[in-house]
Amino acid sequence: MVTFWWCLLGLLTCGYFALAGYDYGVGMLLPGFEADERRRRRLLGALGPFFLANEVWLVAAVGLLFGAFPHLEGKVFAGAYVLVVTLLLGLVTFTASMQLRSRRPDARRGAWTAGIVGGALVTALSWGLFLGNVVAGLPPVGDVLALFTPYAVLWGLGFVALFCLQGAAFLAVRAPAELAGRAVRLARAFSAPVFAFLVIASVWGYFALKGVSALGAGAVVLAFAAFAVTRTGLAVRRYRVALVGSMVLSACPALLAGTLRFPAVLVSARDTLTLEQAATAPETFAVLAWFAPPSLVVLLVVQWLTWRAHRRPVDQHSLLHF
Amino acid sequence: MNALPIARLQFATTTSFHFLFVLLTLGLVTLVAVLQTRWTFGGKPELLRMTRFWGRLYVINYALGIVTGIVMEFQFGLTWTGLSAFAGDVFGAPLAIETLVAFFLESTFLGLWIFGFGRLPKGLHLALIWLVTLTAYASALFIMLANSFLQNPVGSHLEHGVLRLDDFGALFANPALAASLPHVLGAALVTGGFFVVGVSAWHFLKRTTEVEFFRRSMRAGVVAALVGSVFVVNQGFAQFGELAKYQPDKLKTGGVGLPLGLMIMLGFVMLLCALLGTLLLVRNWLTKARFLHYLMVAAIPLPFAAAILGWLVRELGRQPWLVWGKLRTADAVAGVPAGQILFSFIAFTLLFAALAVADWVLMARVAKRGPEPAGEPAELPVLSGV
Repeated sequence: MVTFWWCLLGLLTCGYFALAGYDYGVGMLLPGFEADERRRRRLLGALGPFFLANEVWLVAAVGLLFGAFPHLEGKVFAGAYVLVVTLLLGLVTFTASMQLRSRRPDARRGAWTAGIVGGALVTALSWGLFLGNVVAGLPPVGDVLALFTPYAVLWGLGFVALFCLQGAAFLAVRAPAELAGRAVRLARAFSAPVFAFLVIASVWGYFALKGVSALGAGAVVLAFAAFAVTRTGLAVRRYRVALVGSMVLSACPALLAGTLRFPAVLVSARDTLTLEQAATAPETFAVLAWFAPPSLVVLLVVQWLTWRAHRRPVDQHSLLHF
Repeated sequence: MNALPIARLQFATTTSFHFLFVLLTLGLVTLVAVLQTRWTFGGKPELLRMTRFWGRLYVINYALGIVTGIVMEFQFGLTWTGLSAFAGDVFGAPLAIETLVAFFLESTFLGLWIFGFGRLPKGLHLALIWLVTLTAYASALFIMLANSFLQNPVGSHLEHGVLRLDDFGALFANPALAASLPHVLGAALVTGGFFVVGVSAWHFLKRTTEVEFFRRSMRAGVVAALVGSVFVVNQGFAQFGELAKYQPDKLKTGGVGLPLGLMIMLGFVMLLCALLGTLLLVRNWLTKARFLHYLMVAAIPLPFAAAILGWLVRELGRQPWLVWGKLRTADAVAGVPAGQILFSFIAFTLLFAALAVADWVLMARVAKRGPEPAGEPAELPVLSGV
C-alpha cells in the first residue's frame, strides 16, 4: 500500500518535470529568438493553454509529499535549505512574471521578460543542484558549501541544458511557423550538452554511488532510450516524437531519485530513511484514498483534452493570453 | 542569533501576503461567476463586458495568490519540520487534499476558462467559472480545516510521541472551524464587493461615459458587500461562543486585545457602509452622490486591514503553541542555522514586496483603463477575453 502512494507521488513529480520542464525551457530560450514584441507574444502563446495546468503539478506533488510522507518532507527540504530557497525564488519570479507580463496593452515589458528568463534559469539550476544532492546523499544540515559539490554543479548545468532541449522540442511542435525552424536548430544544438550530461553523470555516479538498486539502473537506461528517441525524432522531423522523448527524459532524474536506493528513499550524512519510516499512518492513507485518485483521474482527462484542443502550432486565430 | 523568531516572521510575512491576495480572489471570482451567469441566461451584452473586465482584474490578482501559496507550502518542510514529524499524520491529510482536490483542479479549470472565451459553448464556459469558484471555496475549507486542527487538535490521539488520526470527520465538526469558515468567506465577499464598488466610484469621479456599466457593477458590489458583511459580523460574534469551548483564555493573551478591538470596529464600519449603500440603491442615488465616491475609493483597503487584524487575533492567541496544548512552536522549528533562515526571510520579503507592489500598480492601471469599448476587437493577434 505504501508503495502505491510512493508510485503516485512519483507520477505527480515526474508529471511535473515532464510538463513544467518545457515551460522553463521556453523561458530560458526567449533571448535565443531575435523577436519583436509580436513574435515574442506568439512564442509565449505557444505555452499559453498549458502553463497554469503545468505548474500546479508541483504544488500537488508537494501536497501529497506532506500528506503521505510527512517524515520525508521535513528531512529533504530542510536538508537542502538554501537550494530549496533559491528554487522558490526562481519559481516565484518566473511564474509571476509569466502571468503578469502581458496584462496591459502597450505597456513596457522588459522587466517582466527579464523575470521570465532569469526566473526560469534559477529554477532549472536549483532543481539540478537539488536532485544532484538527493541522488548523491544530502550533506549535514546547515552546511551550505557542501551542497555545491562538483557532482551537484554538474547536475545543475545539466538541467539547464535538459530543459532547454525540452523547451526547444516543444516550440518545434507548437511555435508559429516562422519561428519553428529556429526552434528545431536550437533543439539540435542542445542535444550535445544533454548527451554529455547523461554520460558524465552516469559514469561518475556508477563509481561514486553505493547501493544502487536495479530500478535505479533502469531509470538510467530509460533516460538514454528517451534521449535516443528525442534525437531520432529531431533527425526524421517527427517533432511530436522528439517532444515526448524529451518529456520522458526530463522526468528521468526524478524517477532516478525515487528509485535509486529503494526501499531507502533518502540518504543523508547522518542517517537513512526508508519508505516505511517516511510514510504516514494507515488511517491517513485511507482518508487520502478517497480524494487523491478521483481528482487525479479528472485532471488527467481534462489536461488530455486541453492537449488535443491545442496540438497544432500557434497561428493567427490562436488565443494569446500570456 | 535565535532561529525561532526569524522563522516565525518569515511564515507570518508569507502568509500575510498570501492572505491579501486570496481574499480578493475568492470575493472577485464569486462576483465574476454571478455576472457571467446573468449574461448566459439572457442578460444584456453589458454583462459580458463586465465579466471580462472584472475577470481581467481577478486573473491579475490570482497570480500572486499562487506564488505566495507555493512558498507557504514549502515552508512546512523548510522550517517547521517538527510539525510534520509530530502531527504530519493528521495535519498532512487536509493539506494534501487541499492541493490535490482544490488547488490543482482550480488552476486547470481557470486555464480552460481563460482560453475558452468565445471558443467553448456558453453553458460549458459558465460551468468552468463555477468550477473555479467551487474549488476555490474548497481550498478555503481545507486550509481552514487544517488551521482549526492547530487551534484545537480534535479527531486524534497521542501515541509514542506523535499524533495519530482517529476520525477525519471530527476535523469537520471542529468548533474552531464552525464559525470561522463562514466568517472568512464573508470577509472575502466583502473584500470583493468593496473593491468593485471602489473602482466603479473612481470611474464616476472621472466622469466616465460608461455610466450603465459602472452603475450595474456598483450595484453588484454593494449587494456582495452587504451579504458578506452581515455574515462577517454575525459569524464573528458566533466565534466567541465556539472559542469558549476550546481556547477560553485566548483573548486575554497579550497583544490580542488591540487587533481584536480594531477588527470589530472595522467590521461595524463596513456593515454600516454596506447598509447605507444598499439604501442609496433606490433610484440610483448611489451613483450620483459624488462626495460618497471619494469615500468608496478610500475604503478599498478596509477589508484587507480587517482581515490581517483578524488573522493576528487567531494566530497570536495560539502562541506559544503550534498545535494547541500538544506541540510548542519553539519545539517545531527545524535545525537550520539562523543565518540561513535570515537570508531566506529577507529574500522572500523583498521579492514578495516588489511583486505585490508591481501587481497592485498593474491592477490599478488596468482598473483605470476601464472596460474595452463595446463591439468585438478586430485586430490580430487574437487576445484572450481576460
